[in-house]
Amino acid sequence: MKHDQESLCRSIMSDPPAVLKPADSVSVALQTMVRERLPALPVVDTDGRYVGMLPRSRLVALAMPRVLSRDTDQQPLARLLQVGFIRDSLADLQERMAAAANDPVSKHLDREVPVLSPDTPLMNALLFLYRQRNVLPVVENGKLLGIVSVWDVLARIGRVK
Amino acid sequence: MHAAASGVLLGLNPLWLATVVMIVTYGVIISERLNRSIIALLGAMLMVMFGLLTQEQAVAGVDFNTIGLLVGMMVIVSITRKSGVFEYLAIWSAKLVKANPSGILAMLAVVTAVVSALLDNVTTVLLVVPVTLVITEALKVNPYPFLFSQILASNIGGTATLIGDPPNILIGGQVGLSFNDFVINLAPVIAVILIVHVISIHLIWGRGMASTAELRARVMAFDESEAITDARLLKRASLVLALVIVAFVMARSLGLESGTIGMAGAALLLMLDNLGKPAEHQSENVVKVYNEIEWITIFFFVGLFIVIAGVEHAGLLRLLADQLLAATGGDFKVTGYSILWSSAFLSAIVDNIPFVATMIPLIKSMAPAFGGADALMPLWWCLSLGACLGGNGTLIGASANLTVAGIAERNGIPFRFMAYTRIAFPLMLIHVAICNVYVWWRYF
Repeated sequence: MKHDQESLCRSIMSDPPAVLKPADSVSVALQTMVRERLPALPVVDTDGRYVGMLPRSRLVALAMPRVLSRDTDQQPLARLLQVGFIRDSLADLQERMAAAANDPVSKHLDREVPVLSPDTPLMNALLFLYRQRNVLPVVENGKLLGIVSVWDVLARIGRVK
Repeated sequence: MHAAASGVLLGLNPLWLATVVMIVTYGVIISERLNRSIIALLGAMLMVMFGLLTQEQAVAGVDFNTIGLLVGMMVIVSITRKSGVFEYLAIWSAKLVKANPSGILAMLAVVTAVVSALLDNVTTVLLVVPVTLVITEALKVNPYPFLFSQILASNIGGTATLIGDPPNILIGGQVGLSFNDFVINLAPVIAVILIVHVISIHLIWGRGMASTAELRARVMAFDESEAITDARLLKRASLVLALVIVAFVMARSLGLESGTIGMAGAALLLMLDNLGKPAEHQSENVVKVYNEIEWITIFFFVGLFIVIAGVEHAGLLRLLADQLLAATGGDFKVTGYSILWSSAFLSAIVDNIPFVATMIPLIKSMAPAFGGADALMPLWWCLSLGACLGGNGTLIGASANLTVAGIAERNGIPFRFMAYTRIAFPLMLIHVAICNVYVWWRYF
């Protein structure tokens, strides 16, 4: 029985270092994530219900022309092959980022992040982490129970103290 | 035909049964309840299973000249676009007019129309729209007029050539009209319509557009040479594309049909793109190219060809042609105008492919009444102009329209049916009216 439990996500999930509310601004999220070097933060509403994830890639997207940051939604043929022709300077990127600073984070969530349940086999979580996801939400009955983060998982598996 | 008719399900009247299968098939296509390639194949298989066609007759009904041309061009485009040449062209044209927004609006319409004359319309807009959005964002101008104008330009440009728009591929393949026939008969009126389109868009939106010198400098700083991903591939693809166009122009004297030319170009470019690469790399590369072939369109065409073969064998099309002749009083001019306007209106609201595919055998069967197959030429141009340009009338009129609307919505630009139709439909009517004057002046 113990063995069974240890093959599930509930055995490896942890508390999120911070959570965002849907109405929190992008600039608040940016500050927290950059200072704490967090790869992603879960967003929950006032009842503790899971709303979505804000990964750092969505923050990077805010500095790019919109059509590039919508890349993954586009038909493959509509993706720009090269973007090096755009010669935006650092100041241009800062300006673009600043324009989104007051947006609520709910506007920029990544809705494609896979959601785990406490009973999801560990191996499923590993596969998602392998596929470039760094933090996965663990949700039960709509409520956020915890997260599975790549560092926690590697620490446990690699017996890093 | 007799053998098939005798085996019809439950001894039902083949004419009625075939008609019912066709109406149900087209009804479901129009309702969009089921992917069109699925319903066309179902309709085709019912024609065979009900005994209206034998399998041999069904296979014979598929026009492999058309299919070959479609698949061949899709392969050529899929490889060529990897070179980045289309992005290059869009950026180059924007800089040519000093990044002035109203100039870019006109330039991108012309580029879209020209590219669309050589490529499929949907592919063209998929290539031009993302660059357009980067440019409009840098200039801080409303992208809607640009996207609107490119939809119309892609359908207009595509009408000019045999390979520019699926209805033309269909008409050319089935009737045996050459690349030159299309260019000589359609390009002049299309050039006029494109000019009218550019002027209309300028009057509606372009003249009111402004951007600051600072923002324009941002676009002028774009380095189009960075858009070219693979200079070697670009050279090879340009060579093959040029050879294909030359072969189309000389098709008659070379004794080659368009399907052969398209497929030969595809085979040559596939070879040039893969020669010298390791075997695993080759298969990976080739699988990617084959995956970009629009199989929905191909299977849709195959299914439709068989459905139409079914109603043709059953005698429905001859009956309809007689009715149409009676309605127009056997007057050639009236027949031409009716084909032009009815195809324009129908194409604005339903998929133009089934309509064109049905009209082709119908018009063919009018040949005796109008003095032989050669005399029918003006009717083919009426069909092509009406069906291709009519697609501009509403947002659902052509697949390029829906493709652009989809990209726009994903980028937070509202693209609504009524807002589009309110401006596009009157413009479409003007374009078709120009065609009407043109065919009257040139043929009647």
